[in-house]
Amino acid sequence: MTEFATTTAFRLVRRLAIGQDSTSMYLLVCEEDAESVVSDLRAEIGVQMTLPLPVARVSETNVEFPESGSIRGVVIDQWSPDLVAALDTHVIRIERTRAQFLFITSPAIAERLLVEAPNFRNRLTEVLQIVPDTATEGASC
Amino acid sequence: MAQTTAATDRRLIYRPFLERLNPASPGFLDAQDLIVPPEHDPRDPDQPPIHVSFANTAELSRGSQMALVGGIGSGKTTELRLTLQELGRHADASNLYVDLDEITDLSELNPGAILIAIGLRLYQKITQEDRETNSIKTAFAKLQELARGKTNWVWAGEYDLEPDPEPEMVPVREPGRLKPKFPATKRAVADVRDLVLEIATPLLQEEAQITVLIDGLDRLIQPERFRQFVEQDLRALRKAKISIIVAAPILMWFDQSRFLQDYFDDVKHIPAVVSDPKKSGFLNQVLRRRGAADLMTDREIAELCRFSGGVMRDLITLARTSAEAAYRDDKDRIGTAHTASAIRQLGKRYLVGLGTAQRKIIRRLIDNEEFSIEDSASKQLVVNRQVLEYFGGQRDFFAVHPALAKTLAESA
Repeated sequence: MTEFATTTAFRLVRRLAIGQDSTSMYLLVCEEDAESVVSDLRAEIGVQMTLPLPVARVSETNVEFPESGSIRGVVIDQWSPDLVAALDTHVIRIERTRAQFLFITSPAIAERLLVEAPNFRNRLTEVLQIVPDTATEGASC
Repeated sequence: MAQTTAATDRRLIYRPFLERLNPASPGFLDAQDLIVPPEHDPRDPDQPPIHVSFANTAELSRGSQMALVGGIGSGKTTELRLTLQELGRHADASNLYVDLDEITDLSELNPGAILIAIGLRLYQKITQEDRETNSIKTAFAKLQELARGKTNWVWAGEYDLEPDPEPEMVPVREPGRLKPKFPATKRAVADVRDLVLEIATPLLQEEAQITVLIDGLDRLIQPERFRQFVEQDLRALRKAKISIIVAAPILMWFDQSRFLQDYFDDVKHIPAVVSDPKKSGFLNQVLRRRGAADLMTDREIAELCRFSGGVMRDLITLARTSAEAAYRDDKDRIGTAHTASAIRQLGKRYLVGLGTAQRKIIRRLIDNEEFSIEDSASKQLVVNRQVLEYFGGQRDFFAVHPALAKTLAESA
């Protein structure tokens, strides 16, 4: 897997704060447990932006994404054939929500998604490796 | 406390820039005059820009069908919106912008669906008085039924799900000797066409100029599916005086059968823009219009233009990522380190999924300028924008996306 720039929940949320009111889509690649990343992000978004983080998980909802919230999380914890349709063919629908989307996934799924979903890849704001806040020293973004 | 104030102020520096780069709605771009319209056809500097050319054709040759083809992020939607604006110069024109993505699930699109979408939109364009006409009322109701589906109540005995185990007759198809150039319009599609034309009757009787701009089909990565819709839905409208402009996927441009050129009256291609700032100032103008000159020097602007490869969306992405990097660094301006980091990030994104076969193709293109878009690996590289198609010196040529080329060189 390509080594993308690393970030932490704290640093990423600082960036989200300037992007409010414009759509963005971040693909966050995590080696560790996605749930701990979600919990870090939720805490930082709460503190820095006083906003909630609604999160959907592909394993639970297939490809139903949260319908409200200015920042929305989607944990892609398993591959689904419907993902390409939802993220690639219909990427415009995501863009029009005016929300900031955080797609959290494993390196293997991220790679597959980037290869099979060229429209999604082209519209992503950025692909980042997200690490726990305790590993801040290694973060570059 | 002082630090908090500084951070808040810096947000105010970068936020407007990000909003201009990536507005929430296309209307914002028009309202803020953020679009830099091209001055000529990208393949011929002596010809008017695509949007002017399309608008002229739609106005003068009613019923003509045109295709706009280009890679992902090349600016097809912007060009369609510019065409729509241009067509608005005549008050009696009925122009419909149909983004199929807003209407239906593109991955499960059936033949006839585009016609239904056009019919429903046309209904909005006719007067209330015309809508009261029985034939139009009926046609609209049927279209709605086709769009949403309906439930028919039948006697359970009449609705036999099991096929007859011993049918008296079986169909034996004898193929025709003369293969038609385009397959026949399916009966169901022809029925939908009749309903659409019924709704369009008042406009057609007034000799109105109707133009439908269809966006979204370019996101069908499989060109065969695009072809199906053209052969059914668009062909069904061939004889009606309704002009069509449709965005097509890039692979159709390289299709051996030259389907686009055979079928459409006019085909326009948007290649990647010349990204060398010394040869073209277009990308530079795009960034300046969005406010880049307030935040970076000419040098950084030139770097972003060069490494965007002339892909409009990559230019925007690079500017955005650079701005975010500067903000993260607590700087009030975007510096070389920030643009370099953005270029590296974009290059890495393009690096994902490159296997041995793709790397060989890319190496051959970098070293010997050899590239053939015949095999599936090469096609995939073009679709994914890892290899870009350009037009210059009267010829098409390919080049590796400069951000990817830089990343590959650095990792070698």
